[in-house]
Amino acid sequence: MKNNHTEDSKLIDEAKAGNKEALNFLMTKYYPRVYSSLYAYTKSKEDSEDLAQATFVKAWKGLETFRGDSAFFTWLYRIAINLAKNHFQSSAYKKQKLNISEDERLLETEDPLNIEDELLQEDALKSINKFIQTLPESLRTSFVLREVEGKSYEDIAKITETPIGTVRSRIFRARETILNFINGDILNG
Amino acid sequence: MDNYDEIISSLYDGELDGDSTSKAIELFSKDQNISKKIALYGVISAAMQQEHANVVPITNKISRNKALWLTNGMTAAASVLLTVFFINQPDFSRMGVDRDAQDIINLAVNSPEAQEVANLKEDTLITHVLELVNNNSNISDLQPVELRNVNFNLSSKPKRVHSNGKHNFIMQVEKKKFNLNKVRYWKHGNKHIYLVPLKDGRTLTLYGNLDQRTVQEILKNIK
Repeated sequence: MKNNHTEDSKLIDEAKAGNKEALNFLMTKYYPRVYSSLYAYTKSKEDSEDLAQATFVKAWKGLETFRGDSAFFTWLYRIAINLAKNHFQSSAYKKQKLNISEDERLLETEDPLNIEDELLQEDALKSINKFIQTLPESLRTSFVLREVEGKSYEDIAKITETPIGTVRSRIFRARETILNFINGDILNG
Repeated sequence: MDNYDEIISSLYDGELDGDSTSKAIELFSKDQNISKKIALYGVISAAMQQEHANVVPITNKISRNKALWLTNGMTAAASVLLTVFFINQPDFSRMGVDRDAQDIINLAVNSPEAQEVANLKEDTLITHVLELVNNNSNISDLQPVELRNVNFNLSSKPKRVHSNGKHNFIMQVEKKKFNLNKVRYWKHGNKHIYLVPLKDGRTLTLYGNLDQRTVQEILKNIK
């Protein structure tokens, strides 16, 4: 049975094996959460962007040390908060951008994190949340179990007493419905 | 599972098997639209996380009789709305908001992971404040201090609480070192927690429905 700690294990294994696309995928997946966590700490868009970038660079360099004892996001979060701590402790840090080496710039240029800034603002996140509350119950239940509780599809299928294929479909449909809302009401609103 | 987008959703959740994962990653690397979609899925996850990290005012969660004395450390603190202030000693009128500390407490009550933030930044201090509001056992360790000259009587049952009929508070000299060089205080419901640095390096805690003027009067009478 899958649990929260293993959901990214295949991607992490691929990334450890040198699959850069797997690494990019993980970065793309977790950037918004890392950024929003950092923003809650720094209250600065620029600092959060810099620190998020630094977090992924550090994660990339230290991926071999990730043993999977905790969820991948928890590991990222620790890196991010340690960097943020340094950010607060060093006044010089505040005055200069992070020093990114040539290799790291390579990573940056291939950065797929082309999310519109406005989506990561607090108001937008709140709007998305509000919309999620309006999802049909069947979609919302599966989606919340997945996103909030970190349940595997298999676990959700047991909890909701529905086939795993239905769970997969409901979560997908929930995401698509939310994406339609984002594209229609937030980005074009 | 033939739906291309559904595969991406499953990939995002780590619910594909090994071969399917490799193929999906390959698609991801070739198609910017998929990359964008994954990023937006990430935004949704961030939004969900934010929603479930909201700080809830104490009155929404705790019964009236137990509005102050919570029981379960940081977990219970998720139900506490703590507002943090910073004051420059000895001029209480020059009060400003300690944004960093406020962020830290908000984070600390937001998620288990975020407790680490408190540990990293102002570990001892924040923990002390949260323990104080969450655990009334500390009150039994109070050092009795005579405050009758400022009209406070000390009751020993059930707790050592100083009271003048209007203001009730507990007071203790801390064993821990907080290395404070100025008075700081936190607001918790209608009560405040004041941490006052003493000349000998120790810290005095006052906790109750005390305004700044009353605290100043009390402090003047403590040698």
